[in-house]
Amino acid sequence: MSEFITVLSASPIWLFLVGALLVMLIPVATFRLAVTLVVPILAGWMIWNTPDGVFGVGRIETLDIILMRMDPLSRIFGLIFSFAAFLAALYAWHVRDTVQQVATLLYAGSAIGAVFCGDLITLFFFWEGTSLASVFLIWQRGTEAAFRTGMRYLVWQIGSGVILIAGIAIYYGTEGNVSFDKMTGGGPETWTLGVWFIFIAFGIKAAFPLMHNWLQDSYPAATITGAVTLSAFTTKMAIYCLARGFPGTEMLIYIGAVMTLFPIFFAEIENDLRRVLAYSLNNQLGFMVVGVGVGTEMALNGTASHAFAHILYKGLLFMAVGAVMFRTGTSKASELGGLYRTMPWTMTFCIVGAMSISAFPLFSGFIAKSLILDATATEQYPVIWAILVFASAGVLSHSGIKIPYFTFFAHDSGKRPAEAPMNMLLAMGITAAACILVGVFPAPLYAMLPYDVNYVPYTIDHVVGQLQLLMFALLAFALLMRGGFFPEEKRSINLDTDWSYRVFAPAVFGFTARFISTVWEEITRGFGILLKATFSFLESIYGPEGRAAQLQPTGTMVLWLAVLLGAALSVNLLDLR
Amino acid sequence: MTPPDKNEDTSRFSALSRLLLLTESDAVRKKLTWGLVAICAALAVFDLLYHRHGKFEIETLPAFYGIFGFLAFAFIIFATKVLKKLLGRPEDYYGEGAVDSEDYPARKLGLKEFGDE
Repeated sequence: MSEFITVLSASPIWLFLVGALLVMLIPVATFRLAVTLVVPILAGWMIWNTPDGVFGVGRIETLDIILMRMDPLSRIFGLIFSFAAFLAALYAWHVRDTVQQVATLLYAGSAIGAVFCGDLITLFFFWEGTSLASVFLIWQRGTEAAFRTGMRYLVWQIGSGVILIAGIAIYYGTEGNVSFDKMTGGGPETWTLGVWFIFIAFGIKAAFPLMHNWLQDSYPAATITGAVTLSAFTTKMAIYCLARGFPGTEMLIYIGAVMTLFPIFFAEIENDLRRVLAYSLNNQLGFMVVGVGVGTEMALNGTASHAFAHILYKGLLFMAVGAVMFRTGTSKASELGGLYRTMPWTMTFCIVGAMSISAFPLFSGFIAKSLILDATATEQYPVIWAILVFASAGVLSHSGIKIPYFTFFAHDSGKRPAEAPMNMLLAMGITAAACILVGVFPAPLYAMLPYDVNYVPYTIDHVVGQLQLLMFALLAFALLMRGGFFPEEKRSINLDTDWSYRVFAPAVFGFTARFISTVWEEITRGFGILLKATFSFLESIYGPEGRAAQLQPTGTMVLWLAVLLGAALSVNLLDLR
Repeated sequence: MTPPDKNEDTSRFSALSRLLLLTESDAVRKKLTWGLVAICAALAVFDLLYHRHGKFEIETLPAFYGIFGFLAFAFIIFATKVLKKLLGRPEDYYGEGAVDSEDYPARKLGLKEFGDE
C-alpha cells in the first residue's frame, strides 16, 4: 500500500484524485469551487518544478509501470492542460453542480496522467478515465437528447479504449514489453497487428477522417461550461500520444491534410456555432497531425506549439459562444446577430480568439502554425503545403469571420442580452491576454518546445505573406457579402458520417429484420396450408365420410396386410433378378 | 424575434458599441470596403518592392498569397452552396435523439436582458 502511494504521488494525478474526493465531501459550495481552481494551479506548479527524468516506477507482475516520465514533450502538454483546467474552472465559477466539478477534475487529471505515463498499461487506464469522466459533461445538460448523444459519445470513446487494450496485449506478445515510446521504426507495411490497433485507438480520439464525427455530434450537446473543458483535453491527449508513438509516420501527413480540408466546408454550412467550433477543432488537429507525420524536430516543435496555442484560442472561442448562449439560450447563427451592442467585452475577447486562430501577426496562431507550414515546405511536400495554406484561408472563413460576425454583427437579431458574468469575463480576459502575449513574445513558448528552435516568425516575408492571405480573403468576404453571394444562416442541420449509424444502419437492420420475419411468416403459413391439406386429404379417406370408413376395421386390416405382403413380395422379386 | 427598435436608447451602450453602431450605415460600410481594398492593394504593391524568399518558386510571385487567399475564400463559399443542398436537412431530422431541435434547459442559463440589474 505504501509503495502504491509512493508511486502515485510522483504524478500530479493524485492532486486531482484528492481534489475530486474533497469536492464530493465538502458541503460548502464556495470551498468546492476553490478546490477546482487550486488543484490545477498546484498541478502546474508541480509539473513546472519536476526535473526531466522518470519517477513513480512500479511493477505489476512482469510489467514495468511508469507514472511520471518528465521530458520537454510531456511537460509542455502537462502545463497547458493544467492551465486549461484552471481557466475552465474559473469560467464555471457560477455553476453549482458537483457532478460536473468532480467530472472536470477527474477528466483533466486523467488527461494529465496520460501525458506523463511511461507505459501502455497506465496509458490505458487514463485513456478510459478521460472517456468515463468526460461523458458527464454531456449528460449534465440533463435532457433525453443529451443522454442519447452521451451514449453515442461513450460508444466511440470506450471503443477506442477496447481497441487500445487489445493492441497493447498483442504488442506485449510480440515485443515483450509495454513501454510507451516510438512504437516502430518502419513504415506501416512492417507494423504488427498490435501497432495497428494502437494507431487506430489513437486515431479515434484524434478524430481522424471517418472516425471524427463523435466530436461534432457530442461537443455541441455538452453543457456550456462542459464544452469549454471538452475542447481542451481528449483530442490533444491523442495528438500527444501520436507525437510520442508515431513521429515521422508518413501516412499521418496525408491523414492530417485531409483533416485540415473537409471540416472547412462542414463548418461553413453549419448553423450551430458550437458545432462550427467542433469542426474547426477538427481542422486544427489536422495541422498537428501533419506535423507529427513530417516528424522532423521543427515539425514536432510545430505540433507542440500549435497544440499549446490552439488549446487557448479554441477554449476562448468556446467560452465566448458559451457566454452568449448563457445569456440568450442559443448558439445558433440564425438566431443571433448584432450583439456587439450589449456584449462588447465578450465580442472583444471573441475577436481576439478569432484573430489568434486565423493566425494574424501578433496573435498566438501566427507563431505556432507557421512552424508546421514551414516544416512541410522544408521537407518539400508542395501539395501538402498548398493544402495547409488553403486550409489557413479556410480557418479565417469559419472561425475568424463566421463565429464573431454572425454572433455579434450581421443582421440585428433584436436580442439585447446583458454582458457575461464577471467570472466568465475574467476567464476570457486571461485567455485572450495569453493569446496575445504568446503571439507578441513567442520566446518563452519556443523555449518550452521539445527541441531547439531555429525559427524566426517575424520576418518581412512571413508577415506580409500572411497579411496578404488574410486581408485578401477578408476582401473576398466583404465583396461576396455586398454582392449578396454570402449564404444566409438558416435553421438546419447537415448530414455527416454519423448518419451512417444514426439512420442508415438502423434502417438496414430494420429492413433485414422485416425481411426475415416476412419470409418466416410466409414459410410457416405455407407449411400450415400444406398440413391442413394433408389432414383434409387423410380425413377424406379415413374420416367418418371416407372410403376407408365404409369397411369394418378388421377388413381394413386385412386389406393393408395384403398390400404389405404384396410389397414384400415385389421387393423379393426384385432381389431374385 | 423582436424587431429592432428604431428609437432605441443607445446612450447606455458602451463607447465601443456606440462606435460600432456607425457601421450600420451603408455609406460607412462602403468606405470600410474601400479601406480594405486599399490595404490589399498596398500589400500587393509591397511585394514589388522586395524579393520574397520562399521555399517554393511560386511563393516569389508578386501578391501570390493574396491571390491564393482571395480565390480560396471564394471557392469555399461557392462550394458550400452546393454542399448545403446535398447535406442540409431540417433541424428536427434526428428527432429527439439529438439536441439540435431542443432548447437548452432554461434553469441552467443566466438569461438576462441588458439594463436588468
